[in-house]
Amino acid sequence: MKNIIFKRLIMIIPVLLAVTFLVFGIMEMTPGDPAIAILGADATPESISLVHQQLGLDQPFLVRYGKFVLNLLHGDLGTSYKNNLDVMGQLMQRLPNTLLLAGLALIFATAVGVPVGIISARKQYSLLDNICMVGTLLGAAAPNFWLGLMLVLFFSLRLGWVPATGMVSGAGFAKSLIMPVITLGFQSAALIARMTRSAMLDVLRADYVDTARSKGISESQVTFRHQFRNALIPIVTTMGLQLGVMIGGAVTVETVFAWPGIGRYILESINLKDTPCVLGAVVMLAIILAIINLIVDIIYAYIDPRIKSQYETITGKRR
Amino acid sequence: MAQHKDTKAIAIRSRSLLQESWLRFRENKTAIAGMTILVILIIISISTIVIDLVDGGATYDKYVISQNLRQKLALPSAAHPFGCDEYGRDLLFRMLWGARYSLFSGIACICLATIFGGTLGAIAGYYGGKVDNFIMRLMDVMMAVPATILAMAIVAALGANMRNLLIALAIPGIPKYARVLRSSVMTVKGSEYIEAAKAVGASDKLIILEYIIPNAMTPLIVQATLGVSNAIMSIAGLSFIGLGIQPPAPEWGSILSSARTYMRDAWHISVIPGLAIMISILALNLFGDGLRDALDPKLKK
Amino acid sequence: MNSDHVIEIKDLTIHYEMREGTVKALNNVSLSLKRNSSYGLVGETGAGKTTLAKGIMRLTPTPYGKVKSGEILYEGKDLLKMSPKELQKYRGKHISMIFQDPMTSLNPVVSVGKQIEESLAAHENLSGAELSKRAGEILEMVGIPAERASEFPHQFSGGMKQRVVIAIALALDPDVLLADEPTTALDVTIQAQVLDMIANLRTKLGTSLLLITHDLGVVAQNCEYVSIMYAGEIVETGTVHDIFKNKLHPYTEGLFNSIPNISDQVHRLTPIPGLMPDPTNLPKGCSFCERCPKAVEQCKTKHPRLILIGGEENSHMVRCFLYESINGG
Repeated sequence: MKNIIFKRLIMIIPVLLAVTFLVFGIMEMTPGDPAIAILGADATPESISLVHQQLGLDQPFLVRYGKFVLNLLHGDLGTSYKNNLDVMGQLMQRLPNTLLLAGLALIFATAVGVPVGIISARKQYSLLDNICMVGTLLGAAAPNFWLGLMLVLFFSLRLGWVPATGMVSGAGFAKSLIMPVITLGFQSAALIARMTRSAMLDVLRADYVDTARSKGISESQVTFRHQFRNALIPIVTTMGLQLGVMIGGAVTVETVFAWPGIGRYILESINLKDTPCVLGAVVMLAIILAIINLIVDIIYAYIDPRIKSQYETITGKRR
Repeated sequence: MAQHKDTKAIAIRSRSLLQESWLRFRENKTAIAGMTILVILIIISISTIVIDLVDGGATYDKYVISQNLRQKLALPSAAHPFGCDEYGRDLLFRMLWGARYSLFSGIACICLATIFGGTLGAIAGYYGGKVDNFIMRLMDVMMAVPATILAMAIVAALGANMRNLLIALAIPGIPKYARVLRSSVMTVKGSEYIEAAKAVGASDKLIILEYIIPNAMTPLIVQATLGVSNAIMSIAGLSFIGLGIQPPAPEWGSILSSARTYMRDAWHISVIPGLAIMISILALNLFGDGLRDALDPKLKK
Repeated sequence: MNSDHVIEIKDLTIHYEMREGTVKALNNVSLSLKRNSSYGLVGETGAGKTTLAKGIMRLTPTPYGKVKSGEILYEGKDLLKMSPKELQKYRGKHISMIFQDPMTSLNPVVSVGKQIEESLAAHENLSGAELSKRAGEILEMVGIPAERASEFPHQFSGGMKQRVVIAIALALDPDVLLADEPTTALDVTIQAQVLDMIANLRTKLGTSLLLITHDLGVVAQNCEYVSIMYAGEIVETGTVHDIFKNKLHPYTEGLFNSIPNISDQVHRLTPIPGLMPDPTNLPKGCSFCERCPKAVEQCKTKHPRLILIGGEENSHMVRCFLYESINGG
């Protein structure tokens, strides 16, 4: 197992390197001179070239890229043009907010999606099943930012139960979390419910379930050791995928609820043309996503011995 | 429906794949509903384009752009079925003219993604080995950054207009279609009729075009349909945060964005565009699911 | 009740109530299995063989599968009237079943050793160490090294998977083994291996075998008795010797005729024309009537019943109007 983890880590590094190159390259294409952004439009050519020198902008592309990577390895993601603050430090303030939101949203999505899927599968074709299916269809189709607006409209403005926006510290913190978490997790809940339903349907009728029953074991053993263990595999896969989707898609939810997360940070930096911030944040997100995917893959190998076998026989080949 | 050995004996007639698929599709009521809504949206979109072409943008200017502050934030009524926005513009007109942004941008974006992604995937699947490895690594790189964030970065770098938006949203989509094509190609490649074709001396290009691509079409079409629904969601989302289609163009997502400030007094501006987006996406999802069930019933649950 | 018979099935009727109609899978089927004997059950796909076997184990798919009538007596006790808990005591220990597709019959995420142990643990009080030891012994019995007990199903070939399935089924030395086309999904050479192994284990353990197959060759080599099923009913039954010598029912004849003879020079195969009738809409008369070359007027309107003809052990029966006069009509 350790071998597998090590191999996968090794495979990630060149990919991440390429990602930094890609993102660095993209940000290079941003129009506008940062020096002017800092000094103002009426800056003198001398002060402009001075700033260029200070920021290292007079160096060729590859040199700047090289420096960026070197700094990255030391944990330095650059410095903001606007307020001269360390990007890494700013990210460290915002990142936990997004991760908290996404994590709780995943828990919410699972807590709602899995039971709905199980009930739907158990009572296939019943009225309940149909209602749930319609619900999941709507949930998957509703844009999360619109859902957020609707929740705000209804629960904050009309009913006044929860604060409309912002992250409140101290006593009101939990309350201010409720709506953003539901908004972010809703779509994933719908997808997890569908996946759970189809996974359960597969296992309910599986041949090995007949084999298990024919041995004379108890029904609860059939349910847990045979049905549930197998249904878990696609469900966990979906959960892992959704976590990545939610971290990426948090930006719209953060905008609706004025949540101080990394998505909004990127958006603000884009609007301020603060390129180092955008660059640093995007690279950071790629790293986090890669780590999450690795963890999901490891969990996956644990619960599905077929995957574990596949990993063990891989010698650098794609799966 | 569970498989059981005691199935009805069906009279066997030979039909083409298309005919059979259509017959299956027809029986799926939700898929038909989805398709109907899609057709309506397409008609609306095309109509608005035609109207603009015919009257040189007069209707557009008068009803969609011009402000009429006396009607500011009017709630729905007989005169204005969807009410008015913060500039007094009739929301119904704005919504109708906004349909084409979501729909056609989504389609264009996916076309780009499928062409580039599909080509890469087909090459990877067909040639295998180092070529496959390299291309798939490239795909890994594209998937390493969350799609929305990557799109944001690209738009940030290139500027927020329609063309860049399409590129920005197509790029994160490329890996998905590359994978679809790659796996189709790899499945077909092992078939014996490919060996036969090679034995007769068919060129690689011919084999790819004539044999492999038609067979890979089915999963690609299904994925593409669902991809368009994703694209619509993304376009609306990006416009909502201000990085997509810029006002005063009546893109539904950007209408929602300005609706935020006036939510307290003008609920209609925040409810209606979102509903429209949801219905469009729902229609596409139902249509895509129906397509998948019709083209390959083995996948049906 | 005949104590010679370990299982007696009487007038078993099982229907599948689906949305498109009711599939009459099994209609008034009666069958008795003697101790320590082997029975073949032959028929086309859809004839009801699997329904019968699963019915015995009470594994009929729910919720649409309904047992409409009949009794299944195991040593005098009606399995259909047992509570789930009672049933669990019989399954695996007294009656076992193996299924058609070895690729999907085993739980992919549990090791084969543990799957054998599960069977043991359900019926016997053994310690963990004893369980693994026994599981290893049982694996050796089917020709798989005991060290492989910790491996997972995907690490075995199709033939070996089927052997694991057989090991699980025979682990507790049951009286009856129901084998639903155990070799259909395997290569011909592996088929022979697996069937040989079943035959050996049978003789060693004294298990009765109900072997479901569509292959008459397999029946010839492995069974003492055979029943031919068609459209949910038994149309002919008797010793293998009787039936192979005297094919009475036109369907049985048709089955034998469709097997190519290795020494004959044939240009075409002679299949039975037509298809089995729609089980949601069975004909009023004889189910085989439409395809039968010997059909008479009666066949279309009246349903024939099983008639005893005689044969070796006075067990040869056939369901056909052609033979009604022999037994007095």
